[in-house]
Amino acid sequence: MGAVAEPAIKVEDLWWKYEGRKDWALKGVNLTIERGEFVGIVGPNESGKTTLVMAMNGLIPNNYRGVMKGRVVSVGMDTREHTTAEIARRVGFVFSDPESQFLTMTVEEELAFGLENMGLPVEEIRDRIRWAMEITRLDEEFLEKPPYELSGGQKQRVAIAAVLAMKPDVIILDEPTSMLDPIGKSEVFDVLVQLRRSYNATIIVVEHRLEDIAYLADKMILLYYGEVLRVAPPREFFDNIPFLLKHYVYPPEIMIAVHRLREEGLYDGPIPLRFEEGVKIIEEVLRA
Amino acid sequence: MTHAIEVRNLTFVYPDGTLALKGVDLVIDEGEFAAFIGQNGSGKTTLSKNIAGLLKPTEGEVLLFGRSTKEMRIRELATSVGYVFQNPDHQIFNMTVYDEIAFGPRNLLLSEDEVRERVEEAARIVGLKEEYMEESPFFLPKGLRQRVAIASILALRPKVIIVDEPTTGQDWKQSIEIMDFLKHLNGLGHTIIIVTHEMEIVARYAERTVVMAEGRKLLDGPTNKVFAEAETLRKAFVKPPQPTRAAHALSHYGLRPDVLSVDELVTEIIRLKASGAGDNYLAQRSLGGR
Amino acid sequence: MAGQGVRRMRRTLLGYLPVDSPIHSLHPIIKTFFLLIVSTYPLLIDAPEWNIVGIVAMFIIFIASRVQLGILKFYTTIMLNIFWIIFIAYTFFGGYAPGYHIIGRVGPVLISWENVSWAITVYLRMFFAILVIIYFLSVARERDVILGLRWLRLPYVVSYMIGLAFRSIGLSIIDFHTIREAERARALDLKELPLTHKIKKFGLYIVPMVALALRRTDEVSNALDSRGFKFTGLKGHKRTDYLLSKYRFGGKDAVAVGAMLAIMAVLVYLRYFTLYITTQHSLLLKYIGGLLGVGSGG
Repeated sequence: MGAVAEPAIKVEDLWWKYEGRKDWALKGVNLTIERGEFVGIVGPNESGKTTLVMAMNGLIPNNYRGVMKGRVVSVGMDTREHTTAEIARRVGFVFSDPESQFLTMTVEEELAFGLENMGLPVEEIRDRIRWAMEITRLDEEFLEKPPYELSGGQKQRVAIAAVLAMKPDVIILDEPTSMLDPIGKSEVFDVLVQLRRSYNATIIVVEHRLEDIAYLADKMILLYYGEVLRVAPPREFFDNIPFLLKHYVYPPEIMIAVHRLREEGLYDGPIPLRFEEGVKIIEEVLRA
Repeated sequence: MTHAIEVRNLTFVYPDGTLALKGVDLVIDEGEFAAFIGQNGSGKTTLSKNIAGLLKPTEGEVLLFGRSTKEMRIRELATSVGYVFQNPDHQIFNMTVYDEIAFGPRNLLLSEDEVRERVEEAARIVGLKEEYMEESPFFLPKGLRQRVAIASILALRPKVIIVDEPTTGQDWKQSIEIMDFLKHLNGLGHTIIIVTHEMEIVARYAERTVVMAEGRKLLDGPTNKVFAEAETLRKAFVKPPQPTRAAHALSHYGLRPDVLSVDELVTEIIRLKASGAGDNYLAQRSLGGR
Repeated sequence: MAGQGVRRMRRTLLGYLPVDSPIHSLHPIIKTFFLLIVSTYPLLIDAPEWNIVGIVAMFIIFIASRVQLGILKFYTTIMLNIFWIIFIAYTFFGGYAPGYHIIGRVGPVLISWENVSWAITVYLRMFFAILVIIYFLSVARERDVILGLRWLRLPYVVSYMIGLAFRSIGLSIIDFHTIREAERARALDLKELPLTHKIKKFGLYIVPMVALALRRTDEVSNALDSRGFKFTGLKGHKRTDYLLSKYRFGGKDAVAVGAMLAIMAVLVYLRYFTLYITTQHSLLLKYIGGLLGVGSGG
């Protein structure tokens, strides 16, 4: 963090319309994401969240047909001047459906795939695979297994490890938990905590469930039908609960409860970002 | 009285040898709105597929309105219990929305007039506009595809409808829409069972909750009573919704531990404040402590 | 989830193989070699007793490799059915040429010893060949096949495409099952339909399968690009082959390949320069022929 000259991602007045559609998916998005930031992107479905993050790693405009206006510069690369494969070395992308992103038949091949593409020496590949497995807490015994035989959470951890091993400057995760059961979700969030702690990269997460993202993020972005409505640190972002509800973003219920207590005049502090924090606030209200 | 669904000592083994259900008993009556919860691999989907007759019991039996699924033919099963799969793409077989909804009734060998009547009725209930009827279901947005899937089941007029993961991948607004719609069907007299991981949805909509763990029924009862069983739920890796957990954590202040929603939680807090119970508690504790 | 068996297994193309199977101590390419070399044996051998020797040897290899024998039981049943098909095809429709020894007659059809002995020969040869293939499928994983191709220095794209095909077949099988369930949930009862309808309804599977495949193609191509894959390799980088680097072709492997090739060479010699493995010299056929009161076949 701090004053770094070049931001990780810079989006300037970005417009995008998919071929054959009437409406713009993105309508003049301006965003700057600094290096090392942990960013949460939220908003209802069909708001352009996936479109926006695909524009950050070059899938848009390189792999999709449509009309683009404006500019996206990812880690210094203009996405129109570089192929997705080139950008991929610096900007990693984890898709929401862990099944659909597997390209090989064993976990080991999966983890090695990107590294082989980069042409790294064999020893380096071995070290990086071990390192990525450590952060994502994948067991050695998984290496020989087909990825599709793992549980949902394990699958998504493999997908994250496969991207992480490429040591990108930016990691984008597009709804990494939406297809997972609660245990899988918490496994993936544990990995995100671990990533934030031990890998100094820019992390961009698109999520519906805000329970965990609220306390992990440095910055929250609300995207609403193609427009950025709000960019703020979580404390500020979640302070206006009615605004979020009005735009179909459902904050964790503990936040809503505390907000209601504030409306009732029983409390006048900040909205809690963690569940435990919220319980403490309610306890104080009960004691007061 | 015969029950809508009666599961008796149901054991199910998959062909690969996985023992998915171990002697489950369950009774569900007509008009109930129930949720099956539990982690992946707990047996909730296997149980629901056995109820729909898509899988047949290895041991024990499933009775639908008094008749065993083993004796029922596919058509009878499909008109008793409708099963909506999670991924709409797995259940779309036809080139137009109309043919898609008509698929079931045609399999019942109804006349084209009756088929048309049922398609129109089903489309009306799910709110599919006339203009969609000649479109290809594949190119509709996911939310609409799911509606087509539900309409296709409704056209069979099943008394019970099971929906697998109705809100997965949906945002909050879409989730509320689809669940309100299921509630509406419940009001029309359909028995509804949802299989889900979303506890807020369960708390908001299901009157009854069945918790599955390792192929067994762990808990079964009114949703608020089930969610109040914090210890047992932990064993099944089920996390009740936040208001319930908060109330549970603060129950020693006199908060009822079986609240389900933010509304109930806030009402409880206000009630306690008004009655001064919180102060009483403190007073008592300071007396006892010193 | 499932699969917490006591014995640790690895998925293969046709089932599961215990992790402690001795086959794992050999280089994965050996499995491909086995398929390519040993499957020529039954083609070279005519004499049924030598194919029986091959079949017995295969059973021993199956047991030694700790393949679950349930697979064999299943395919052996199929093989028995095939036997009857072959037997009927050859004996009844094998034709007749002057000089054939007639051993029976069913209605207008003459049953000749020549045809019967061909049926036995063909059947045993097939049995041997099929065992070789089943063995390969029960010990090899997709990964072994791909490694084999990479080892042969085929362009990466080729081995990758084959891998992708394996994967899509696997996914399609899962889809197929779910689709069938979904159809039953919609009251489609194939059993109660006349055959013409059945065939027509079968087309129904194709619609969702194609739709799913199309959606997946998009997803896969996105995933490929997002992991820096270019068919030609990234600019200025040669693709590393990490996987292959993990295996070393050792002495044991050389011995295995050597032995397989040696047997093949012997069989080629016997077949083209001697009569030992022909049907004319078959002791077994002579013996059966003797029982039936016919001289040796041919």
